[in-house]
Amino acid sequence: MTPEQIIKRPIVLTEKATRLRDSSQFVFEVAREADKIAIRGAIEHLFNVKVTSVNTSIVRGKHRRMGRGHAKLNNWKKAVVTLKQGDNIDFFAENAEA
Amino acid sequence: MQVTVQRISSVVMELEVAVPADTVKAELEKAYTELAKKAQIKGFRQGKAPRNILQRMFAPQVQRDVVNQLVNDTLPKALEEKAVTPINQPQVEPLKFEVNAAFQYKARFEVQPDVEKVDFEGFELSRSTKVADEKAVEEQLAGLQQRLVELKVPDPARGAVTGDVLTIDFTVEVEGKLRKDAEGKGVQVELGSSSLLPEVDAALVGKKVGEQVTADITFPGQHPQKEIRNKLGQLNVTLLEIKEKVLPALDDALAKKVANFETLVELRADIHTKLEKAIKEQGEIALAEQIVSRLNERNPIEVPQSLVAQQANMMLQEIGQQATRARAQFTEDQVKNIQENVRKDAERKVRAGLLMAAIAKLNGFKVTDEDIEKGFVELAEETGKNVAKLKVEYRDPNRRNILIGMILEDKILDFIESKSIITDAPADAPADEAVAAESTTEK
Repeated sequence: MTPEQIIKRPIVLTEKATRLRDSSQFVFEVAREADKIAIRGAIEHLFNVKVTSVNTSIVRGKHRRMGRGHAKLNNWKKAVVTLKQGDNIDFFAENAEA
Repeated sequence: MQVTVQRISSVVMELEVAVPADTVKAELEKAYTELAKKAQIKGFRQGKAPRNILQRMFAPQVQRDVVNQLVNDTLPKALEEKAVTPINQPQVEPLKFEVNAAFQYKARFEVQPDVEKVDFEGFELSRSTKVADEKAVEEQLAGLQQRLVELKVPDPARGAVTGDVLTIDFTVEVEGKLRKDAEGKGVQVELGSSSLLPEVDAALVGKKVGEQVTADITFPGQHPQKEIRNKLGQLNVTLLEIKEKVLPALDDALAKKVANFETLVELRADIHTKLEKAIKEQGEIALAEQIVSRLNERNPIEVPQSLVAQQANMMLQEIGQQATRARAQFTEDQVKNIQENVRKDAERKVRAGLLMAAIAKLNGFKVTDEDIEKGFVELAEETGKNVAKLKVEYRDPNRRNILIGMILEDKILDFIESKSIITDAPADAPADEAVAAESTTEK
């Protein structure tokens, strides 16, 4: 699997992800079959940073009701990546306004 | 806050205002704090979204709000500082907005022009010398008679003559066929009033009650029903009743009936005074109109367009109302024409108004309590209400100001009149006609 296939999307706009970013931890949705080693490699390759640890968890899909019927969203894998001190991934490319 | 004033023309001004960076920053800060409390962003509980995310999502909107806020805060102060009073809504144009810099904007608006000198002396005006003569009174009386006309069956019975009111039954045949939709029973018509086709009128003259008449007719080309236009037909009329119009005699009884006067002499006198008053008023209006156009000619000052537009709108509205009442329909060209004329007229009026205001200022005219008192008495005469009642009505400051404005205008007009050369126009060429011609040719 290529790094692009492993890392599906960054999770940016949540309270928890925002809080974690302050301690150099970044949250991503990753492919179900990717392991921690693969994730570490992909992040280091894509963002040119040094990863110190990777924690993963399977997020259980939520049940959604549509009137009488109901459905279950797919389970997905979340990875919290801790970077070496000083490294940073700037999701907003430009440094926004002051 | 720095303010620079630029006078673009005698009526247009431009203010350039610079707001210091500190104020801008504080205002931004306030806006974001306010926003943070309210913004609902997915992934965050309300009020928990961090500043940088808010900035990313709402920056343009917040900046717009802040610019508005700053303008609203500073513009009135700037105007006050420079002691100018705009007469329309200022057009604000932000020059640039940066987060950490002073904010500058331009505001453009119209002001009352400073009129330093008004040329208003020695106007040549013509005054109408028309008076209420016997002829005019007679005309009015004849009008009254017509209104109070009585219908009577002539005695002894006679044939119908032009002017009589007839009651008839009729049927219509078109090219030999009877038309069911064109019958009439007991219809009242006035002979010779062109409410009937002329052929029928002619056939009815001289006929007596109970007689039947058949008239050959040609339907007119503009008949509302298309299929019978220009066709030949027959009208069969049965004459049911003849009534003649009897004009009431000009006597004391008439006077009593019309307006509760005891004698005809009183009625005549009343008509005379009313006519006299109307003519005098007309003369005054005509004179004022002349003064307005002379003022315009002599003092071609610039006029704020916003005031002209306001005045024109008011006038157009009035015209529109009159038109709807009269059920008049205008074509597009006519509407354009009217708008054009009204605009010109409005400009004249506004200019004259400004000039008069300037005259009042330059000559120190003021409306004293005494004048207002006098105005009330005059108004009471016109409206027939008593003075005390009027005073209560005019306690409202807005209405009071209108009254004061009117009094002031009268005063100024009198003043200009007193400085003018007034010639008497001959009675048969009324002054107002001359003015009307003038105002259309002007410019």
